[in-house]
Order: sequence, then C-alpha cells, then structure tokens
Amino acid sequence: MRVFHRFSTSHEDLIHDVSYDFYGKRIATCSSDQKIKVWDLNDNGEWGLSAEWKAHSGSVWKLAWAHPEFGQVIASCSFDRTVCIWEESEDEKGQKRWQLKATLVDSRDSVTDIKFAPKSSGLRLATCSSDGYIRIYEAMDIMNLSQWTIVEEFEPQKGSNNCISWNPSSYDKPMMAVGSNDPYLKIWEYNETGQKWVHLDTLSPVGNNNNYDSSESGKAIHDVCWAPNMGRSYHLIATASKDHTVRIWKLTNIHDKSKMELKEIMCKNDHRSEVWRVEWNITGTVLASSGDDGNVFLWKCNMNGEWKLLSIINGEERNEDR
Amino acid sequence: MSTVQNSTSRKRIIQWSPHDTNSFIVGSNDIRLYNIKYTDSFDNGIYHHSHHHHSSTNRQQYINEDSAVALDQYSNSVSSPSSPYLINNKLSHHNSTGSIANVGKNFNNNNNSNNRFSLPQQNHHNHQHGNSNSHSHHNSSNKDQSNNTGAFSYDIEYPQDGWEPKDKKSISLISVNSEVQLMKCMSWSPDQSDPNLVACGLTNGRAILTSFSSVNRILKEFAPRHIRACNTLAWNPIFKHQIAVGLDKVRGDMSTLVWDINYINSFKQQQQQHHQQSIKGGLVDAPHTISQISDNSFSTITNDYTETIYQPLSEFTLSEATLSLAWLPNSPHCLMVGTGSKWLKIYDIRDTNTSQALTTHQKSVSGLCFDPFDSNRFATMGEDSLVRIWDLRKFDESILTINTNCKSLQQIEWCPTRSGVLATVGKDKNTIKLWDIKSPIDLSKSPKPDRKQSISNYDPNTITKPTKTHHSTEIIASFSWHPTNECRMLTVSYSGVIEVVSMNENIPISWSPHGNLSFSHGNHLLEGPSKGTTIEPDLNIYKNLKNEDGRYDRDISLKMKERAKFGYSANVEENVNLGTKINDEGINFLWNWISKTPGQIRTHKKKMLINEETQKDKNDFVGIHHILFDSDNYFLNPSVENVCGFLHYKSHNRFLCSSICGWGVSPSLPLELIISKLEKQYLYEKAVAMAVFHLDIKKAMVVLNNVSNLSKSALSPSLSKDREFNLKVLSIALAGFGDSGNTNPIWRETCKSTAKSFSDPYLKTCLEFLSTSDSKEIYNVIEDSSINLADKIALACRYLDHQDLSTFIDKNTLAVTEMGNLQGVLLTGLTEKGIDLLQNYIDRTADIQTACLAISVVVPKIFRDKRVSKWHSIYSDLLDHWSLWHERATLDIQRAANKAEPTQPQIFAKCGYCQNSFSFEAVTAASMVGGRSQARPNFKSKVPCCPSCKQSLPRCCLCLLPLNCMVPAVDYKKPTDRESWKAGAEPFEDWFTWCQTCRHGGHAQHILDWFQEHSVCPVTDCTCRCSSL
Repeated sequence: MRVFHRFSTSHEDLIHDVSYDFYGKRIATCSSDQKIKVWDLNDNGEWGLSAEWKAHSGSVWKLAWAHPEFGQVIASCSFDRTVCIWEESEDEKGQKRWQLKATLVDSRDSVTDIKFAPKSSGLRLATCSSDGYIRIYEAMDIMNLSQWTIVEEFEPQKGSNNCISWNPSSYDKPMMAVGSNDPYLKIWEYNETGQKWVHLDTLSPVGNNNNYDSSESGKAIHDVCWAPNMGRSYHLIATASKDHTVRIWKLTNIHDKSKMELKEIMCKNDHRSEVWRVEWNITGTVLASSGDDGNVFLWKCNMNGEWKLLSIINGEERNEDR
Repeated sequence: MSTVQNSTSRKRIIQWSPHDTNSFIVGSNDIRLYNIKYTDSFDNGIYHHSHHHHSSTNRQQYINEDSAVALDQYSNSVSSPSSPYLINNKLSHHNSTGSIANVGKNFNNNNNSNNRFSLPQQNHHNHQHGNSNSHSHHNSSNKDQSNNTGAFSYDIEYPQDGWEPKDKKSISLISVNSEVQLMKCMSWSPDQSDPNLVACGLTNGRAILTSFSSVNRILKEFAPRHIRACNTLAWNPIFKHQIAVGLDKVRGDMSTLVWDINYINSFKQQQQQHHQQSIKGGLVDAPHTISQISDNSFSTITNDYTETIYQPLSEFTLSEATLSLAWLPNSPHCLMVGTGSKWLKIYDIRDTNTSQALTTHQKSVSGLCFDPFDSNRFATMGEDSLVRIWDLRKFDESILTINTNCKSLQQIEWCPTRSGVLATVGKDKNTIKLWDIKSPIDLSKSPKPDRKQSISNYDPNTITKPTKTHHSTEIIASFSWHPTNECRMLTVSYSGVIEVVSMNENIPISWSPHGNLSFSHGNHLLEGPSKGTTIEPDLNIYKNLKNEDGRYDRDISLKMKERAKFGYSANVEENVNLGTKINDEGINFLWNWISKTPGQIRTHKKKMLINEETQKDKNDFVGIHHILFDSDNYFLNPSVENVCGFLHYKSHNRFLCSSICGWGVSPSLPLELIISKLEKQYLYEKAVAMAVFHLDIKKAMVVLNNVSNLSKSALSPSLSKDREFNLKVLSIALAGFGDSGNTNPIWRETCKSTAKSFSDPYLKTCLEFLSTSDSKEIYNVIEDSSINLADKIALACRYLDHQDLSTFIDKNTLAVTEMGNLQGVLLTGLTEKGIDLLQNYIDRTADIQTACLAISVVVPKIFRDKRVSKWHSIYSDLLDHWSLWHERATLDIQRAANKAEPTQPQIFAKCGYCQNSFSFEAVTAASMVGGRSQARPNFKSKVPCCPSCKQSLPRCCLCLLPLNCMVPAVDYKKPTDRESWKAGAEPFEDWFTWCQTCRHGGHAQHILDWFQEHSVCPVTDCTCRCSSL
C-alpha cells in the first residue's frame, strides 16, 4: 500500500520547489528547466496539469503563492537574478492564462528565496539574494500588480543569503529569520521608530554534530521555516543545515527584548546527510525535513514536550511501481 | 574466485543496464552481473560483505565486490561482530541467493525469526519475494498479519527511538562471467531484444561479445590485425549491430575499427532464439533463480565454439591512437573519434577517406560523449583538467569550458535524465562533481550583469563551480548514471566497493492546510496521504509500535478540521451532545462545565439574594477559586460540625463549589442517587469512596455488600479477582471504623499501610482519609491523592479549614494553569485566569479551536482580552484555509450573538453631492410622503433622491432606474427581531454593486447578466475590464 501518490511532472530537470496554494487545491512546481507548472486537484482527487510556462532564463529556485485575497498570484525567483510576479487571469475567450505582471531586477546575483509577508501587512514580498541583500517589495495598488516598489532593503551580512522566513503572526512586529552560508541564523525585526530593519538576535547552534566538516561553510543553513503561531505564547523556528542537522528553536517573550529567550530545543542528525528543506504543517505541530538521502522525515512533539521522529517517507521509485 | 580483500586496486568499470533498471555489471578481471533491489523495510541496512566494516556514518550502501561471491561466506559472516541488522541482511542475502527449494521454509521462518531490529513491513513483499524476506514481523503471534496484505505502507516507515539508519537496498550477485579477462572497456548492447548482451574490449585489442543469459561464455570475438590495447568501444545506437572499437596506436595501421556483429547471420539467429526463450522464462529478471541460470542443460543447445571475426566493416584513423568514440545521434553513419594526438575527427563509415577534424585539447581527447537532450551538443575531456562543450553546428570552437580543478580527468558522463547536467570524476579522486552547463549561458542574458564580476577576469564561457559535489569514501574507478532514476548513480572504487549514490540536489516539501504533504524526487512529485491512508500508523496493524507518548496520535490540525466539519462550534448544548464525536476527555469536561455551572451559580446568587443589578461582576462562568476567595461574600464564615471525629465545614460558598464538582448533597440530590448512579456505571470504588467521604459508613457497607452479591449472581460483568479482593479488604477495614470514629490508633496504622497496597486511587484515598487524625493529615491525603480533580476539590471544601483550603486551591489553581489542564477550568473559570489556562493549553496542544470556542462564551460579552481576539482571528484564518465558510460565518454570528451590545452598523450610505449620510430617520421621513409606513410591515425604505439635497441618486447603468438605495441601518435597528430581518431583506438581485476601479455599477442581477456575455464595463466609453478583476 502506498501512502503517497507518485506522478511525473515531466520537468526536464530537478524540481527545486513545490508549493500548495492557500487552500491546498493547487500545487505549483518549478525546476532547473526554467519552467513553472501549476497542478490542480480535480474532482477525482487527482492532480492534473493546469498550466506550464517558461518563466526564467535560469534555474527557478523558489516560488510562492500570494494570499488569495490578492488573486491567483505566484512569485518566482531564479538564478537569472530576477523575481517574476505571475497572475492568472482570463483572456477574452475566457481562457485562464498566467501572465507576467512584473519583473523585479534589483538583485545583482542569483535570487535564492522569496516569501510573501503575512497578509495583514499588505501584498509584500521579501526576496533574498546571493548578493547578501534582503529586499522587500510592496505592490502599492493591489489591483495593478505591475507596480512594485522596494520599500525596505537591508544586508544581514556580507556574502550569500540562502533562505528567509517571515514570522507568520500578524500580531507581532514584522520579523524575519535569515539563513546564510554560516551556521548562525539571524532574526531581524522592523523597527517602527527607526523605520528600518534591525538585527534582533542570532541563533548559534549548540549541539555540534562532530561527525562532519567542522568548518563554518560546512554548516551552511539551507532552509529556515518559522512555524505558524497558532496562538502559542512562543515561536518555533526550524532550520535545515548542511551539517546534517535539523534544528528547532524556541523563541519566548518576543515583545520584550530584555527578556527574549532563544533556545535550541531539538537538534537531530538522523538524516545522516545534508538536510535540504524544513517545512511546518499548518498548525506548527509536525515538521517535515528532507535530506540528501532522498527521505522526508516527520517530527512531532510528544506529550512530554520532546520532539520525536514520527516517520520516514521515501520518495524513491520501487520495483513494485512498474 | 578471489575473496581476498587486498588483491586489488584494479581498474574497474561499472555500468547500469540500459534495459533493466535494476541490473548493472562491474568489469575487472571478470564481469559480474548484479541486481539491486529493495529490502522491504526500507530502513537501510548496510550491506557489506567484506571482513572489515566501513564506518556506518555514511548512508550509502556498499558491497565489496571481491568478497561477494561465495555463499558459504555469508553464512559464516553471520557471526561477525557487528550490529544485528547486518546479520539480518546477510540472512536475507543468503535466502535470496539460495535455492528455490528453501522458499517455503524461509517463508515460515519469517514469523519465527527473533530479529530484534525488525520494523513493520508490508506483507506485499512476503508474497512476491517470500524467500527474500527474512525481516520478520515483530510478534510471531501475529499470524493474521500475513492476511493483511497491503495494510502496511511501504513508502512510509515508523522508526522507534534509537533507530539506526540502514540501507534499504540490497545488492545481489546474479552471475559471474569469468571467461572475460584482461578487460579494458565494456558496453551494454543497446539492442532491447537482447538485454544481456555486453561487448568488451580487451588488452589484446580483441573485442568480444558475451552475455549473461546463458552459460557465461564468449559468443564472438573480433580480432584486429595487430595486437594492442583496446581503449574504447561504442555501439551504434541506430544500427544496433554495429560496434566501433578504438585501439592503441600502431604505425601504419588503423586504430578505429567498426565491426558488424551479424557477420555470420545463422549463428546469431540461433542465439537470438535462445535469448528469447530465456527471457520468457523470467530468468533475466528474477534474481533468485541463479541456479537455473547456471544450469548446465543449456550448454547442450548453445554452440560451444567461439567464432572469431577478422574482417571489420570499416576502419580508419591511421597511425594514431583512438582514445574515445561516439556515434553521432542524428547521423548513424558518422562516428566521432577522439585521438591520442589531440584531434577530434568525424568520419562517415561509408566513406572513410574524408573526415572533419579539429584540435581540441592540449594533449589528447580521452573522453567524448553526446548530450542525450541535445543531439548537437557533446562534451570532451582531455588529459588536462578541462571539459569542453561543443556544438556540432559550430564545430570550430567550443561553446563552453568547464574547469574541473583536478589534475586530470577519469570519466565524464551526461546525466540521462536531466538536461545539461554533466558528471565528472578526476583521476585518483574520490569526488564526483556535477556541472550544470545551462547556468552561465543564460546569465549573460540576464538584465543587469554584475559590474564587479565583469571587471575581474570572469569568463562567461567557463564554469568553475560545480552545482553539486559528492564525496565518496574511496577513490572512484568508474561511475554510471541510472538510466531513468534521476537521483541515482553507481560508483565502483579500485578496491571494488560499489556504492549507490543518491544525487539529490534539493527535495522541496510543502504542506497543504489539509495535512497533505507533497515533495519531489527528481522530476517526480509525491503527494499524499492518498485517500484511505494516513501519515500516522494504524496501530492495529503496526502492533509493535507503542503510542505511550502520544506520538502516533492524529495531528491536531486534522482533528480540528474534522471537529469543525461535524459542527463543533460555540454552541454549548450542541458541543455537549457532540461529546462522543469529539472524543477528548478534557474538552468534553470543559463543555459540560460550561453548560451546567452558570445555572448553578445563578441559583446560588438568587439564594444569596444578591441583586443582579447591583453586582459588579456579571460573569457566571467563574471558577471555584473566585467563588471561595474573591467574591464579595466570602466573609460568610463556615459553620463547623463534628461528624465521627471529622470536622465538616459548611457554608453556602462551599456548598456551591461541591455541587459544581458534582457532589452537593442536598434534599434534591440525596447521596443515594449519586451512589446508585456510580454503581450503574460499575464504578464501585468511586461509589464506596463517595459514601466514605460523606462519612456515611453504612451506605459504604451497603455498596460493598451489593458488589459481593452481584459478583455471585453473575448477572453483571464480573469483576476481576483483584478488584473484588480489594473491595473485600476495604469492607473489613470499614467494619473497624464503627460509629465512634477512628479513635483506635492500631486500626489507623493498619489502614495506612493497607492503603499503600491499593492501586485504585479511590480505595486508597478512602482508607487514607479514614485513618487521618488531624486536619493537617487530611490536607496531605487530599494533596497526594490521585483521584479526580473535582472530587479532590469537593473533599477539600468539606474538610479543610479556611487556611488550608485557600492554600490547597491556590496551589492547584497554579498547577492546572501551568499544565494547561482543561479540567482546571473548575478552579479558574472562564475568567482572566481561565485565559491563562487556555493559553497554556494552546502552548501544549495547539488546539486553538477549543480555546477560541470556549472563551467566546464570555469574550467579548463580559470582558475583553487581547489574546482572545488573536485566537479568534487565527482560528478564522484556519477555517478560511479549509474553505469552511459556513463554519466561519457561524462562528462570527455566535460571537456577535454573545455580545452585550448589538453590532454597530458598519456600512453607511451617503449622498455623493452633499455628503450627508442617509440616516435611518432621514430616509424614513423622506419616504413617508406616500403614506404611513406602519400599515405595512414589509415596508422597504426606498428613496429615489437624497433626502437633504434632493439630488437624484445614482442609477443602474443598465436599466437606468434609480438604485433605490436601501439603507442598511433599517435592519440593524432591530437586531433581535429575526423575522423582520428576514422579511425586510432585499433579494440579492435588487442589491447594488459597483466596480472598485471605474466606480460604475448597478443592480446586481443586471450586472451579472451583462458580464455573462461581456467583459468590458457596460458604461459607454469606459474600457474598464471590470469582470476580470
């Protein structure tokens, strides 16, 4: 019995990102073959290709769906240093088509990650680039998505940034976690009075994985994911890193800097290989991580408050499939 | 057959079969055919057959080629000092290579083998490859498991704590072809009709054909005139009978020969028939039938002698060594030759006198291969560190150079599944590097070239940074891409270690709001759990999994969605009825409390003659903490009564508390009733304890008598012996209590020690309580007892003096709040303290639904709290994610209904000319002209013009009638009168709507009709595409 349905996307190269839309009824994929494909869930519960187009002139690294309040909007970023905004709209014949609404060309190097801000702060997009800058764009008129302006820009560090994640809670100040090629995860916050982003704190890993390359570059953070808050009094942030570890950080007293506390509450190296991505489920109660071994691990908090391995999912093809 | 580990450091070549995705060959002194397959627990076992063990830190799987042959050795190595899973795998291997006769036996053994490390597996495998499955089920008793075929999920696994990653693949040796010796290069035949045909180039220059389908012998030999080493060979991908062979240089002779393998046709046909037979017999695909493959009966059919052919189809490349060869994918007569003297030449085999040639590398062209995704593109490697990418149409100059940064290269190969990806390995290196040739070309087109980079010596046509590097533990002799699986590659080291490498560059994951997970594998997408499956294991099937820590409980997001769907809302009565469906003790307790307590408190207040009007605190959902200590009337000192030596405190407040806890014995609720209820639920211990706690020893004895009678009558479900015995012990103890109380110290001591032996908390507390002599002791007994919180509190209210009671309640309030224990609502109530408790409950469980719904009973009706509005918006957002619009609307309505004051109108209509708002009064006054409205209950206040400036109101752009603005305030004026709300509401068609951009609009129905056929705004000259917005 298979729990996971496996199907070919016919991308000509590796898929770099997969993303469900807000309702979980559509999936967008992007690949090194420079294409984006959108899949819709049909009435039989199967995924059918609904659209595909060549989006960039380089590998498409990541994509992100905007909140449906703003329409069917996808942002994509690529090795070709651009970020593109795509919107699905109907043409005269009533055919739905994805149209390029805007190309954001400010980055001087590959754009490695993009994330939409929580809905409450409007249609805002944070981009993260290998040139070291985080740029935040905003669509001033949500009816006209061709106009995007850089509202904020900051450089968390010299060198390449790999990944960003917004604090998804709209009850906090705008905050962001940034992961780069060094092992330190940085938390940035928008300071209302100074009208700029300021560095709030740095999470340095405590649990060392001695089995591996101890150089800093060997510990690059590949992905970071800030858990949905769900009304909790604390925040959880997960990181995937090159040093084979999946880590979960707990942030408490986020509003009071003097009392703010950061604690590493999980550090696991069960992947025994580089960990590529981490992703929280909608309630922030199950964490999925993927590693170079081709496995997806699910982590869950047990009743004693310890994070434990729930299951391992393997995506590899088996003989039985044929 | 060599089993010696250190014999080694030979050149080895590895190659996947292009036909069967699970087979590969390794060539060195001989050629071996291997099969790779999954063991069903995909918890990976390191499969290593040498006598030393590699550290298991790496995930890859090894097989030591040199020692992987003798069967006996596997059996012996079981005793090797390594972890159990290794043994396990060896057994498995033993089985899979063992004879068929063992199948049945092994299958039976599956259930008996006491493998400590076995993890849940699917029986699916058991049936298919019964003999290969020596991973056993954990419990040999679970015989029925074998019938549950398909119940196990074979792409998901549930490791327990302390698991070790193991490899899920097992490599088995299928066949050894030792006829082939002194091999330098080899290649699978592209001919699908003959999937096991392999060509090998030898050091003596001969090319041989051999096959694994029959007895492993050489079928044909192609001999050149001069003996010299064979460097390379290449099958023609179109004319599959042609094979090109590249040889070392000999003065005056050609070094590239093209042979026709069908040179003598009759023999070939015979061979072909034979192959087909063997394929049909499943010999090729079935890894376990090794005995049949080596069955000598075939040799009688096969022609014994090896045919040697001396006449090549074509020959060229004079006086130069041929180091690399490739057929042009688009022109099957053309062969590209890389020579030892730095030339790259293209020959047409039909006319070998002419050739295209160019100089490429510094020294020689040692490797050459065509991109499978672009037939014009090919890559060459030289003796230097450079790989050059060429286009056939622009032959004179390479389009791209890859600087691999290693001294010299060993092998290059295009990825067969990903376009533009090339793998390289350097000589004497243990790293494989992947290069993406697409990247730099496209960068040059990018809109803003980086100035910094263009100033420096950045060459846009050179790649120096690999996209991925794989480090192997040993020096790689050869590698081979898997033909279809984009993430897999095989490597073989000089010492013969085969490694299955996974080449994932990234595995993106995404969660859907419905708890579905999707992730990629190469260019495939996996999405699940599919219908009828769950991510969590079914514990009825995975019997060896223990859910002690709640790890395998369904995730809260799924629970909340399900509960929302079956109607879990802020409706108290309904939630109480949904109890069985909600199936959570704490939540059900909470809603029962919410439904009962306010009534009790109200009755209490009435009794206490507290005037509702004068009381500040309107909240009826208060907790016991509040009732006892915070309310205005706590000064009502309790009266004390001595019952059998116990001080029984009485006050109205205390009585209220105990009735909230379900005690509250009064004329309307006699103790008998409570006890008989408990008896009906077979909770005898609790019934007895209840009687004892009320110091009604006689009733307790009656209950105990009933129990012993019942167990004799055998009508009721029989009690366990233990339980019955314990109850009897208690009855003896109670008999000693007597009427005068527990004055006898010996009896008290006995009681205390007996109590310790009881496991049932009620019996234990019962005896401990009776044996107490002062209030301090009672306090300790209550504090330490593990009976229900409600019973504890009631007991405390009854027997503790004010001081102790307040300590007890304070302490427990704190504890339940910190725990986020929903039962603690008894103490905290739905107050600020209750919100603290719910906050901790959310922190622990993430069940924002229950918190949000429960608190909406009092917030914002009675008091407000910032946290609650946050919870509400988060929960609404969740419902949005799940597309549960009705549930969301219900929630908002329920919240609004709970509000103290009606919602203020949120929409106002105002005149566009004079900016005066259309207040209800103004509108009614203006429309009164026609007649008195009171006569018509369904009167709609429609105004054709602004009541203050008399300008006419906007008209519908389609029917040109005035919009008859209906002022929303009319409805909000009578929020309680539901009927008039319904009757007075305009049908949707009469509503007006307008475009947010061009501000044109009209009656909703008209506009809808218009946009069914048009996409442009109905107003003349307006080009706004309203409908697409």
